[in-house]
Amino acid sequence: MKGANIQNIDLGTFKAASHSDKSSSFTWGDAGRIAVGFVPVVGNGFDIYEGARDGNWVQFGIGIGGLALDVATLGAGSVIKGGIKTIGTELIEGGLEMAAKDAAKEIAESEAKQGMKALSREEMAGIWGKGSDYMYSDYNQARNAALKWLDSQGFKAEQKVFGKFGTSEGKAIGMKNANANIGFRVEFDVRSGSHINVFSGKLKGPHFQFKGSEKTLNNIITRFSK
Amino acid sequence: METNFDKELLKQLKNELDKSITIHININDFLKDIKINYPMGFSGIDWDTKKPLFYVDFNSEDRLLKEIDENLRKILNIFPELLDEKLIMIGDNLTELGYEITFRNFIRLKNIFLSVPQHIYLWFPKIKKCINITFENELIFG
Repeated sequence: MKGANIQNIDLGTFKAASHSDKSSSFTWGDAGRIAVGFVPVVGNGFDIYEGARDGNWVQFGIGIGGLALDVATLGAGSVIKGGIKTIGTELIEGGLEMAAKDAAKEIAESEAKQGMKALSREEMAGIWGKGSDYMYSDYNQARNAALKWLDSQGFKAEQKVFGKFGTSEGKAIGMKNANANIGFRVEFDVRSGSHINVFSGKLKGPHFQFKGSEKTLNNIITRFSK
Repeated sequence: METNFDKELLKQLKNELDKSITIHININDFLKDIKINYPMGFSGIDWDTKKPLFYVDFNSEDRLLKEIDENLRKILNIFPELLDEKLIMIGDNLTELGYEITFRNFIRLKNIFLSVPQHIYLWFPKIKKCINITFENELIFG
């Protein structure tokens, strides 16, 4: 069951992120090879086949090792192997097979995981600054619209909502009713900008976005502390 | 201190308690861990500074519930050891308890956790990674 959960997965975003780090000498031929290299078990078979065919015992060894790794990790080893290939090859070629094997184990826990690299600013382009259907020119307009929605839910501002994380930690960032099941909170993040989140029981209301920086928001929340 | 949302969750999860879920009343150490490992913005982890490894904006709650499994599997494809790893589910801020559960069981029970309209943090204390499912229906991993 575990294997079935993990193996039948499209790598999608992760492959794209890895490929984007290749140098300018990267070719589509490489792309096909890398993709195969990341397919569990099949990729190892490919390495074993290629290594034996070309007399490349380094590659053959990686394939065998990777196959064992795949059996042990139900496929994850292919991802690990992809990450260690370059480093591992140098060690093995230097006659340090055992060292390479040990290094591979260690690297498997750290380096290979980093094969899934953080998305770059360019890859994140288009994510930041996302809009909503509820965009207002200032906080007062957004607040009025949010209060209209909250009123329809029977909201009464009876206690403060406090921030748990970030620079708003411990500060009043909104209000809720006595039962704490209807309320709002103001927030800021780079993706959505300044906005008001409203909730009523398990219902999420719209995101009331408004123009204003984090500094603006810090000024606004001083009102909730009074 | 548990909130009404916690009480509701505990009620829905009663058959899982002591079997697959451990409740933490004091989550200060976990919060401290998250704050040590991630830059913080106004409302939570500053994912602009700490570039995520994976990001999906589902745009709607319906789409999130429909497509989240597929996207969690993408994360598991790269970090398969997360599947049986323990995580602490921390809410911001309608729930105050920490729910310790394996990722495998979280996936099984996710609809219950996601029914609370808040940001949630799935903090893997051993691996020091976090999955952030936001109120705005985003899935962020890093």
